[in-house]
Amino acid sequence: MKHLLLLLPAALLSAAELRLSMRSDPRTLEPLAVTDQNSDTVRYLTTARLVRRHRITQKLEPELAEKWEVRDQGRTLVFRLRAGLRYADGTPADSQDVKTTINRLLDTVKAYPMAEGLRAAGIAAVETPSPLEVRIRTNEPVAGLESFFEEVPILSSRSPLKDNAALGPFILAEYKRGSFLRFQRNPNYFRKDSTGRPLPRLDAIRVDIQANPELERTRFEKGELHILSALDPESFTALQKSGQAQDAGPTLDGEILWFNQFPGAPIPEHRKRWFRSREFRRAISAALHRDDLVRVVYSGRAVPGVGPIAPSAREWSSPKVRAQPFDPKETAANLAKAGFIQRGGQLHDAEGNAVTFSLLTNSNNRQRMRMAAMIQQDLEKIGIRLQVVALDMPALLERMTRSSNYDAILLGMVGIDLDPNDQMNIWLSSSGSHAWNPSQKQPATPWEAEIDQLLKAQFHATSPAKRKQALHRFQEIVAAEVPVLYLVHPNALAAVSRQLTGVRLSSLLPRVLWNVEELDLAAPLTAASQ
Amino acid sequence: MHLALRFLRLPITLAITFLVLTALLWNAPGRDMDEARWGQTQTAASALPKWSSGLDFAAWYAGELLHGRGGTSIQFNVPVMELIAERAPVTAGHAWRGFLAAWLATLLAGSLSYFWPAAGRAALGAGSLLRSLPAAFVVLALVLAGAPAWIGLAVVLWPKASSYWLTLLSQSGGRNHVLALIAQGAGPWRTQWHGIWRPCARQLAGLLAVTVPLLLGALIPVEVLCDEPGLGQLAWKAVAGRDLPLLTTITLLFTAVTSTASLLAESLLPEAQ
Amino acid sequence: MNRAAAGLLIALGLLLILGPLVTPYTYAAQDRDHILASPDADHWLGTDALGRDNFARFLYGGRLSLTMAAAASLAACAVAAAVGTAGALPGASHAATAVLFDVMLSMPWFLLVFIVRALLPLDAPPLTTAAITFAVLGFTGWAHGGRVLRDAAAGMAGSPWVRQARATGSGGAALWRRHIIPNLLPLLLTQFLLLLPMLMLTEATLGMLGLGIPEPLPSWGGSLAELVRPDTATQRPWTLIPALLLALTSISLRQLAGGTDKREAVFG
Repeated sequence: MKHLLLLLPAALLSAAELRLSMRSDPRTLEPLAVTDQNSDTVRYLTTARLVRRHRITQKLEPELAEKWEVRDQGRTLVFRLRAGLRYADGTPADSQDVKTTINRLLDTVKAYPMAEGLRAAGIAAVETPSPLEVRIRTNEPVAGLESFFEEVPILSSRSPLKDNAALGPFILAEYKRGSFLRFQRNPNYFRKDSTGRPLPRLDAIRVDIQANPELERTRFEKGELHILSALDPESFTALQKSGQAQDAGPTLDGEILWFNQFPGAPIPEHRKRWFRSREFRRAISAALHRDDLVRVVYSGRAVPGVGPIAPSAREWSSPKVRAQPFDPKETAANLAKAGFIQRGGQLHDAEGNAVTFSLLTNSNNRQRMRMAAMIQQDLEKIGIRLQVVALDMPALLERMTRSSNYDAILLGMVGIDLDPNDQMNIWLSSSGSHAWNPSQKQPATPWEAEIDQLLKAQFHATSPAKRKQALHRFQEIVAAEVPVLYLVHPNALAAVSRQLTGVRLSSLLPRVLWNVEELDLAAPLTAASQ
Repeated sequence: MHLALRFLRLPITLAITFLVLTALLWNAPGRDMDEARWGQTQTAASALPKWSSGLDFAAWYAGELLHGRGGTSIQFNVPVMELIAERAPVTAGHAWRGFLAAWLATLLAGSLSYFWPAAGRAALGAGSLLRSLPAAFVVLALVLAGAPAWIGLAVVLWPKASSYWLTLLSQSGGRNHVLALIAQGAGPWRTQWHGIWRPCARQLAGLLAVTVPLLLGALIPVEVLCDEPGLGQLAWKAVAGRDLPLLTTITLLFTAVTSTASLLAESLLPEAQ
Repeated sequence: MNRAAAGLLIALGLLLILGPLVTPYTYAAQDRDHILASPDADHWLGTDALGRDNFARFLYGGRLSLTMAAAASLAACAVAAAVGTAGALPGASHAATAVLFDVMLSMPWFLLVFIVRALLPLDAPPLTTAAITFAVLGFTGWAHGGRVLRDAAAGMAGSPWVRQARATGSGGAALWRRHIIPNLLPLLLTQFLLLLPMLMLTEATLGMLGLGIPEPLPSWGGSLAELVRPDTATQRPWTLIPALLLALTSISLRQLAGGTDKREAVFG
C-alpha cells in the first residue's frame, strides 16, 4: 500500500512542514499490529488514545477520555469521553469505537503482541452505558489498569476508511516505501491551545527513510532536517557547539549483560555452574567500571546502570538500589567464596578449569562494541579471558531464543513504557523472554519464585503503596542476585533545529514528538532546503 | 547451434544459483528470527511463514516463479515483484547515469591520450589511486560532500573502464594499419577514427558488457551508504533480514544480468574465444 | 617505478615486522584517561576512542591485513589456476566453468560472510574469525582470476609453440605440465598481486558496512570504518594514515603486477 489517502494536493501544503527521519520503513501501518518503534511513530502521529502520559511530569493526563475513575477496588475502570470527537473524515468517535477496539485487541486468533498486558489483566467485559462512557471490568483487581490504555489507539468501527481514519493530530497522506512518509494536519483533531486555536500548529510532517546516521547528521547540519531524535554521544558532542543539541537525562533504556543459566544450553557444564553462582555474577558485576563506560563510550551522556526500573522512572524506582560501583575487594571476596583461584595470571574454578567464556553482542553497534572491548579489558585484570563475538541480529536471536547456544550476551533494552507491568514478560520465570532461563515450568530458584510472586502481587495491588512495596522488593532481589547486569542507562539525546519551537525533550519515547501538536516552525523552510 | 548452446548457459546458471542460494539461506543462522518480536511472550520466530525444508521452499518458490511472482517479502509483507518494481527505477536511474558518465569519461580520456600521452598517463594514475581505496570509502566521501549516488557509481566504475580501454588503445596504436594511415598523411582525428575506434568498436562493446557486473557489484555498497532506496539496498536488507523470497528473487535478477553481460562480452571480445 | 614500488613494500614490511619491537603498547591496551588524544611523544599517532595506541594498532593491523590477504589471495589463485586450466579444455569443461564463474560472480558474497561468521563456534579466537573472513573473501574472489587464467590457457593451447610441442610428441597431461602451466605462472603472480590489494580493500568495505574484523583486533580496513563520520578526517587528520598506507600498498602491488605482465587482463 504505497499511497494512502491524499486529502490535499502536495502543492497546497503550507511551508510549515516539519522534517525528520527514521532509520527504516515502519514494519506495519496497522495500528494494532505495531511491534517496532517506527510503526509506533506513525501510530502516535495518526491515532489518539484514551489517556496520555505527560512525558515531563510522567503523570497520566486526559486525552480522548476527559476523566477516569477506578471502582470496585480496582475491578472496574470507567472512562468518560470528551464530547464531539470526530475522526478526520468526520465520522463521530464514541464509546462504541472504544469497545470495538478493545475487543479486536483481545482477539486470540490475531494475538496482537501489544495486547499481552490486557490479556493478562483478564478483561471480563467492556460496557458502553452511553456514547460517552466506557466501563471495563476485570476478573481481579489490576494495578494501574488505566496505564494499559496509554498505548491503545482507538480505531473507528464505522468509518469507511476503517483503520486509516485518523483521530490523532495528523493524517498519513502519502507513503513511498523506502523514501518517505508525509503527514498532513487533521482538521478535526480535538485538542486546542490555551487561546482556543485548534491544534496541531504544524501543517505537515515529512519523515524521510534514512538508514545512514552520518548522512542524517549532514542533512541536519545543512538545515534539511529539523530533528535528529536518536543522536549518538559523539554526534551530540559535535553538535553541542551549534547549540542545537539537547540532553533530557537518563532514559528507561538499559545496556545489559546476562549469563546463560538455561539448564539445557549446549555449553560446558562447568560454565553453567559458574553462571548459576550468585557470587560469580556479583564478582563480575563489581569488576566492571561502569563509570568508565559512561565516560568513555557515552562521553558522560549516560548514568551507571542500576536495575530493571531505571532511576528516571521516578515513581517506581527504589531509592535503596544503587548502581554497583567498581569494587575489586568485593570481586575478590566473591570469587574466593565461590572457590575460584588465581593461577599464573589466569582465574581457575575449584575443578581447575580456566575461566574463559564468550560475550555475544550485535555487530554494527559502535557503542556496544566499545563496551564489549572495555568489559574484556576489565575482566582480563581479574584473570578472565573473554572472547567478544559480534553477530548480526538474526543470528544472535537464533542463539539466544532458539538454540540457547551462548555464554553471555550484551544487548540493549528499550524502555517503552513507564509502568513496570511492561517488563512482566521478561521477569516472569515462565515467560519465553525470561532472558537467562526462559520458559521455566517451575521457578528454578527461590528468588525467581519470589520475583514471580512479587510481580503478580504488584499487578493486582489495590493501592499504589502496596504496589510500590512489591516493586521495591523486586528491585532489591535483582540487585542482590544479579541475573542481569545493568551497565548503563543512556541519556536521551536529540538535536533540534532552532526553527522548531515548542519542543520539550523527554527521556521517554517518543522523546521529541510526544507533544507534536504543540510544535511549530518559527520560520518557513527555504526553497534551498526543499 | 554454438550460439544456441551458449545461451543455454543462462537458464543453467540461474538454476544452479537458485539451488546454491536456497541451500545457503536455508541453513543460514537466524532464518525466521524476527527482531521486532523479541521481548514479547511469543517467541521471536512465531509470526513468520513456515516451510518444512529447503526443498519445500525451493518447490514453493519455483511454483511462484512459474506464475510470474516471487512470493511475499517476509520483512515488508508485500509481494516481492511489487517491491522490485518500486525500486528498480531508482537503481536504473543512477545506474545508467553512473555507467554513462564513467564511459564518457573513459572515452574522453582515451581521445585525449592520443594527442597528449601525458593525459593518458594521468588518467591511468588517477584511476590507479581510486582503485587503491575502498569503494565504500570513496563513495561515502563523495556523498558526504553532496554528490549524488550516480557520481559515486561512476567514480567506482571509471578506473576499471579506463584502464581496460586505454590498454586496448595503446595496443592498437602501434599496429601496422595505424602506422600506414599516419604514413599516408592522415590527420590525428582521422587516424584515431579509422585506425583505432572503428576497428575496436566490437571490443568496446565487449568492454561495456564486461563492466556491467562491476556496476552491479558496486550497487550494494553505494546504495546502502547513500541511502538510495534501490535494488542494492533492498538486497542488503534482504540478507540482513534473512528474507528468503526477496533475496532469492534479487539474486536471480542479478545473476541473469551478469550472465547475459558475460555472454555478450565473450561473443564480442576475441581473447575470450 | 617498479623499483620504487618494491622499495615501498619492503620498507613497509620492515616497519610492520620491526615496529612492534619499538612501541611499548599492545593493540588492545586501553588508556581510558587519554581517549582520542592527538599525537604526542607517548602516542605517536594519537589514541582511538578507547585510548588504544593508534601506532600499535596500525602496525598490528597492517600485519593482519597483509598476512591474511596474502594467504587468502594465494588460496584463491590456487583455486583459480585449477578451475581456469580445467576450463581451458574444450567442450563440456569450458561450458561448465563458464557457468561456475557466472554463479560465483552473481552470488551476494556478503551473505556468505554473515553465514560463515554466524556458524563459527563462539570460542573461536578472534584471529580465526578474521582468517575465515578473509578466506570467504578469497573464496568469492577467485572467479575473476579464474576467467583470466582460463582465457590465457585456452589461448596458449592453440598457440604455435604448443602445436610444435604436440608435433614433437608431447601431449595430454605432460603437455600441460611442461609447457602450458609454467607459462601461466607469471600470470598467476600477476593475479596474486592484483587480488591481494583487492581483498584488503574488500575487507575495508566490509568494515564500513559493519562486517569487518572483530574487536579488539585491529585492521587497516577497520580503521577506515572510523572515517565514516564527516568530522573525523578534518579534526583528526592522522586517522587518514591507514587509508593513505592502504592506497600506497595497493598502488605498489598493482605496479608490480603491471611489471610482471604487460597485459591489463580484461577480466581481471
